[in-house]
Amino acid sequence: MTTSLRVQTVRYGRDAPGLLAMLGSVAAATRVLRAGAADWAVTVAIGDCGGPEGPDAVVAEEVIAEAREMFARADITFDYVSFMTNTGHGAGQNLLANRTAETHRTGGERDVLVLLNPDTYLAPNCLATLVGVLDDDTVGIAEARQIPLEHPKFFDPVTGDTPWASGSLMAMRRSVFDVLGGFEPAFFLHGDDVDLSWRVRLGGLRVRHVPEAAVFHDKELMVTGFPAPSPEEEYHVVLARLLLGHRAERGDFVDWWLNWAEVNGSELHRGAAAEFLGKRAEGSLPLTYREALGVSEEQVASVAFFHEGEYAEHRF
Amino acid sequence: MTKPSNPGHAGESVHGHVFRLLSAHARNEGVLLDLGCGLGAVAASCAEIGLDYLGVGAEPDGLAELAGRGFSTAVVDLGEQAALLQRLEEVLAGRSLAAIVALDLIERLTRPAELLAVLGEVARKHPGAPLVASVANVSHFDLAAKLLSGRWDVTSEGLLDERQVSHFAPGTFEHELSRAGWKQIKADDLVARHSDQHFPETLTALSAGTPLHDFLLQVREQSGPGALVDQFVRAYLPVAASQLTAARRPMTPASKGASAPFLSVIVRTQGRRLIPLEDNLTSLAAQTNRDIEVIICCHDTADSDHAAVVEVMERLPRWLVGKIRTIRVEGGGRAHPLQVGVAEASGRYVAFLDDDDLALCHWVDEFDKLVRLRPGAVVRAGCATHSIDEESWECGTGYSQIGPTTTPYPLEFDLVAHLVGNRTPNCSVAIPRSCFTDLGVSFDDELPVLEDWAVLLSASLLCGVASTPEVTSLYRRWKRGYASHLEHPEETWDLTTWSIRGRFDARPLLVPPGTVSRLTQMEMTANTVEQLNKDLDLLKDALATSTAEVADLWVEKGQLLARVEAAEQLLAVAEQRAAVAKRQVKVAERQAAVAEQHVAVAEQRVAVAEQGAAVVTQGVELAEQRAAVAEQHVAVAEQSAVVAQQSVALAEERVVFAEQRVAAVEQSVALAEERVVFAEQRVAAVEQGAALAEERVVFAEQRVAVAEQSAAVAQQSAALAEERVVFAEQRVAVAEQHAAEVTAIAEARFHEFRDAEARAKAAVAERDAALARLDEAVAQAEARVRTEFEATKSWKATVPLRVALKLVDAYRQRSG
Repeated sequence: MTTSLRVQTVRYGRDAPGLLAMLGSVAAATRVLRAGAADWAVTVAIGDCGGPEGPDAVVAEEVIAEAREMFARADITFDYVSFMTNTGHGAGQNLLANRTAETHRTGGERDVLVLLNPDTYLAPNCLATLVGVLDDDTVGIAEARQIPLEHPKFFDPVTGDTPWASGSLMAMRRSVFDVLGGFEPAFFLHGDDVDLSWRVRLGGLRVRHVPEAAVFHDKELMVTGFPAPSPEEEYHVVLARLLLGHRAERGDFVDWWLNWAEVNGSELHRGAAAEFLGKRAEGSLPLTYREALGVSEEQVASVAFFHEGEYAEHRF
Repeated sequence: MTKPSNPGHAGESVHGHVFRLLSAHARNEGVLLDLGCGLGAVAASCAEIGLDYLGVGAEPDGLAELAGRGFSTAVVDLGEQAALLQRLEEVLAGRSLAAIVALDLIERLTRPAELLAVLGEVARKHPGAPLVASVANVSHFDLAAKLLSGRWDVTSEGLLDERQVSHFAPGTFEHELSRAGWKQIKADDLVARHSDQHFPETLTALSAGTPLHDFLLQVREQSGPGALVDQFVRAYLPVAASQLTAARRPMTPASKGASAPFLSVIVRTQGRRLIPLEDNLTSLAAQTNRDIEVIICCHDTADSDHAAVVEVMERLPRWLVGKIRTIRVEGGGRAHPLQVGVAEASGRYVAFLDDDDLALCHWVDEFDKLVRLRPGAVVRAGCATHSIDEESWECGTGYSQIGPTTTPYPLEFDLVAHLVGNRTPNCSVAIPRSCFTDLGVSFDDELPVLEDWAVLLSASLLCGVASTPEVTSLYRRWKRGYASHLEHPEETWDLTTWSIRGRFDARPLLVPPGTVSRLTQMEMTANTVEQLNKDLDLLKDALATSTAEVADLWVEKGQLLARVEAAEQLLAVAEQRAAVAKRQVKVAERQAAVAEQHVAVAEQRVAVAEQGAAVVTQGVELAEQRAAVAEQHVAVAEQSAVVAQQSVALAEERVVFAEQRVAAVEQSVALAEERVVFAEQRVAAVEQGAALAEERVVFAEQRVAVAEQSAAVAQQSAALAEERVVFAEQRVAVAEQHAAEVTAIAEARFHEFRDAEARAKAAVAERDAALARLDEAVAQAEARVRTEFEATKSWKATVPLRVALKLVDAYRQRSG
């Protein structure tokens, strides 16, 4: 039986050579995947949000043509769509997933969705390894190990269980994604992966870190060795924490970040705090986990970890 | 020019080397053909090895002299190469050929390859007959040093014999013989520390021990063989005719490199850690600049491990699979696979990764940018690091990052600092391949560790270094397992560091611009440190003195406290004595009171006596006598009273005196306390002085640190300024070109405009003339119509005429 695997990314301003390199790595990883089981119907989808110049600053036609040709040679369906607006990451991924609900699915229980960032590059065995891990029905999301900088969040060295999976590259069964309704669109750039992971765990499934599956996540390092954050990241890193705190009904965590933004934050941080407060005043914040999922306070507390401003325990 | 004596190879001659080669390689019998024989230098020794000598040449005098000595000779014009083969066969006359000798001949021919080809044909007819040739080496160090000093001294014989028309260095000589179809079987070159060109002796570049000489000799010796070879003396056999290639072209500028990649990436692995290697190759596959080749050097790798490496390699994206290969390297130390990898590389630059290193996406591209700015330089980018550890998970083994990422290595290259110790991970530099192929830089397999540091120093001293602080690679340190920093003890690292420092300390170095400033700064810093150390010593002395003074003061304080204690004891005694005195005063007062009572008693007795006188009338005299006695008693009593008063006064004076002594003792106590306070103040002052001294030391150390930081900033500024100048020059060039293009376009358009203007004027003139003609035609028509109108009687007949006149009016209105 043919099983479908859909790899999808939401692009915003990623340069063409890097995008093509990423797509090439998907093609190489597909070869390795099919070497194990040849009946994979693979689709690669790009949702184009434009760039800082505007929503119509889309990928050049010749780049799309080159990608189309490359995927045709590799027997991979290619699906490119320009949203003509900056949807944000989660909403874009939802649109991409829904857009192909009829045409590119086998409807099988084992259909797999791979969500990744455009500034990544897959190790050749990445897809095959992640798909193998999803054979375990208790696993809701399988997350790749990032290089050159590993994420410092905790994972269990025996089971691989981890509090949340990074959206830089995560694989999950399509049915799980559909049941959860995809990403919560209130998260624009950051935190949607944490939110999705928590909802998967509240649904009784595991989130697994898979160290054998590597993904190169391009970073520019500052002279200090830390990654250089973009202004967008600076803004949304605070907004995401406030939204997560709100969803988990952790007023103390929300207040901690509001206070931090006020006392220590930059203008962007304070802007994020103001947006959160504005939405709270007008009642347009997303539902809490208890409201949305009907789970208990204890269940939320067992999944939503907050400590000293972070939402996971770190290894270093 | 007269050639001076040649002490370098006194006692040794080319002929001895030739004789050795002939003894070992000539056929046992037959003719020894001595081409360009001159005076037949080898003729005499020919008989010793049982060969028949035949000297051939074109100089009749020499041949006659040889013939006179009993040797066979023949006149052969070696320049007549068309007929040479036939002529040589004539002189051999069917005899067997034992060997051909060509001494100092080849360099005197304009096209030696043609003669060598003919000789090859001759030799192939006598299998086993070698060619023994000697040729002067113009790459001898003496000539190189003299050329750099602007000298090219042609002499009557020797390295620059005036008859030479072709010149040979090791490579060109080998190439010339090879393309003529000869294969070397033995080299017995004549080595001369000092050649015949070693003059004048006063030339600095020739004077051993001078930095210039030693540095140039070091460069020449590292650049390739033959630095001290005076004559190439070698034996050859012809290759089979079937092996002669058509490509008998003279040496041309190397074409290798035109299609070569920018960067050869040498990945060193033992094939034991597959996951880190896979990560490493993934990071290479993610490069934005793909102008690379990748050579994986599998060092002492088991077959199964090598097969696993190949499997990993074959899974890579297609573009990289075409540019990557493995080499199996057996034996040797850590440096060996790197050296083998360099020998296999074809890129213009070479960079090195261990299998656990990672490159960021712009690793190659940043190197490329630096090379475009500073072609030929060693290029260096920033490098970050973090710790990793082997891990075992549910489904296998691997590794994970266990610490934060930091950047402990200097972001800019400082040669002086690097001469002291390595501050650059190997994965953060790329080195021109020419360093290895042309300048003799190589990884030293004798070094247990730090082989990369030695290469970086050698290359950077010759090429200079272009740096960028942009972090492009990650050097990872294992917490446990196999890793060089874990495998070798600290002593090995220290000893190797000292060994490498010693190597570079023993040779003259070529330092880059800016070194004087750097050393000046270091010297100034050293002076400052020295001065601060002196200040520190002074302050330490002062502190010691103060400490001693404090100790003295403590002793003095103790003494004073003892004295205070003694004074207090004295005071107590004085107070006791004062109390005694007071008691004595009280006693005196009581005595005085008794005396007064006595006086009162005496007065009472006087009164009694007077009463007795009155009562006892008869004994007046007695009474008077008794009165006189009484008066005497009174006098005595008064005297007693006076004495008593004097005693009281005396007692009061003693009290006053006692009080004065008490006051004096109290003053002494106060004084003693003041001295104690003063002593404590001095102790505090001395302690403040010591604290101040310590602060000055800290401040001095801060000044040193600031000075070093300023120097680093200044160097960065200088490098940045250089880059800006280069960029500005490029912009000026582009702007000038643009200006020239715009000027040309403007001129062309100006000419077009002038042409158009002329055409427009002509058209206007033409239009005006046409209008004038039209006006005239209309006027004539109007005149004709009016004439006809006036002549026409019928109104109806005038209708078309009126219409015509209206048309005329309409025309005038339009044109008016």
